[in-house]
Amino acid sequence: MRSFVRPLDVFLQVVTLTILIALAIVVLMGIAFRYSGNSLIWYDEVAAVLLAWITFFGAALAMNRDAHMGFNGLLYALPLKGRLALFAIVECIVFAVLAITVWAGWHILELFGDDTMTSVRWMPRAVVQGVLPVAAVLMMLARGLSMPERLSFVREGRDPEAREIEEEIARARAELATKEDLK
Amino acid sequence: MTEALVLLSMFVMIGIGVPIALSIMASALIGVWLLNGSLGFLNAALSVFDGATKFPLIAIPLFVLAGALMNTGGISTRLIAFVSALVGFVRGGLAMVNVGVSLFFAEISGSAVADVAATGSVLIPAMKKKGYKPRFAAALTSSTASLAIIIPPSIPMILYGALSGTSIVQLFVAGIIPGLLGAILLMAMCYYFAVRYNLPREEGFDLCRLWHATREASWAMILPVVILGGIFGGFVTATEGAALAVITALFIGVFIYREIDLPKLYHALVDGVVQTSIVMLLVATSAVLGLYLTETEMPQKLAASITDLTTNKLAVLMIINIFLLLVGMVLHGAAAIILTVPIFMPLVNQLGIDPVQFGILLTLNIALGQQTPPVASVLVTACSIAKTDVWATTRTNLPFIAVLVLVLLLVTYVPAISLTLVNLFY
Repeated sequence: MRSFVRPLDVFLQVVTLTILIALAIVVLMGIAFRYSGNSLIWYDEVAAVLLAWITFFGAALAMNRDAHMGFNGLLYALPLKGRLALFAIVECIVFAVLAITVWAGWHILELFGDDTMTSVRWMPRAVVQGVLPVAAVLMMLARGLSMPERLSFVREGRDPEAREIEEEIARARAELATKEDLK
Repeated sequence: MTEALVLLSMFVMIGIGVPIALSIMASALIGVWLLNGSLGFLNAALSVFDGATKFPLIAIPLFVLAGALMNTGGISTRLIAFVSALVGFVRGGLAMVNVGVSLFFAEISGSAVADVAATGSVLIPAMKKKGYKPRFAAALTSSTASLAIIIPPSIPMILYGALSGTSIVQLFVAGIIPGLLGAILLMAMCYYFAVRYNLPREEGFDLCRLWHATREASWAMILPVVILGGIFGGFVTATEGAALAVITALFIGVFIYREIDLPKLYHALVDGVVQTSIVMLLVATSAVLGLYLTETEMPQKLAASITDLTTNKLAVLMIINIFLLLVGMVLHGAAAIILTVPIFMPLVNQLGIDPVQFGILLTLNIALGQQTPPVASVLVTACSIAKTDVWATTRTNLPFIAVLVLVLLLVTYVPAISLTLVNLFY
């Protein structure tokens, strides 16, 4: 998968992988402590929150790689003018949805006040859920900064699914080639 | 009426190319705004976050992590060698190897495209070299890869289980017999073609080689034993089984085979996280749509209008099968599950259809959907590796698709096929 904005991509890679490793450790600790007879009370809640964090930061990463699932058959079947018009409409919808998410995600934080997580009393709920508006801003950033390049793909008529398949095959071939070299 | 328009707006947005997760979110936002104004937006922000905190879904990133460790730690190559030594001597051996390998690699990286690219790049050129027709190689690779999703661990099953509140462990158990049945039928089909077109054997049966491959792969084979044994034995949940798989794969890769390639592992992990988040964002946004649907009681109304028509279980299952087949032609698997489960579940419960059986039926439909163009990413990937035309390959694929349809019909009409093992154990 190609990434559009390199620094943002690297930042999100580090963030999401750290959370993923933390999640694996938390679940393994959960099993170990349960079998040793002292179940961890925070295990379920913390693991579920980590999953949500991976989801939203990872969604921003996926946005930076234009990898979100979608159907582009109609768009790429149109002549150039139609493609450009549809592209503009799609971008407007995407930004509107993300903007509403940022606004609403931010306003609910005020409602939480001094609320904390149920099992981890020092962790404010506002921090836990603050990930949503932050990730939505990152998604808007990725979408905006990648727009010129995506626009050129739409002009040329190269759809993302074909690009993904090309890239995956090229990568698998490259890996096979290095294996042959090692032999 | 308004509900129908809201859903229609979602399909229009998907149709013009808005990412599916954002189309779901957009139509759900319209819906909650119509009901409660801007207060609805705040509610939506709460549910989209809650939607991403479903505990059973933690199994998805963990299985993806385990898969990345297996692929980069030398476990996968040993499993391929083992399968090859086991079935390679039969006529059409390479085709059999293809079926066997796919069973092990079921959606292991979280992306069906990446898996088919990985196994297909090895097997399709090898098959072409041995005189198999490229179209045959592409069609078989594509169909076996799809069958693999009903064999545990399966991401579509985890999704369905979490969304419908069905036991993921029971779904995993229920997938075993239909999965093996499908594999045997596909192998039988390969044997028929092998005899008819005089396809070659891979090599003579060599007990010594088999012994060597088995010994080499014995550590690798501990992995399914640990995961499935732990889960089926009731020692751990599906999620914890996934975490055990991570630690076992890490142990084998670092201490036994010592082949873990760090840059490749990093790359595989990042790709895995992206794939996980793509699916999870769909789950999260569909929670907002679910909020709207619940308030408007639309699924219940739909259930009522179908049960007015007929209350015959088999007839309703047939209607659902046909609907899912059409949905699968234009939507990717995870999106199809996320959109249809909340709508169909009240109907399934009302008619007393076993939710485990329904889960297997749904997953098989997803497998079929990956084989039916225009949206058939698994098939398209196999075709571009083999350099064949998608529609021509689909013609060659028809017998294999027929096998998948046959398994689907058996699961639909003979509940015992999916439920016998479940009833035996639970």
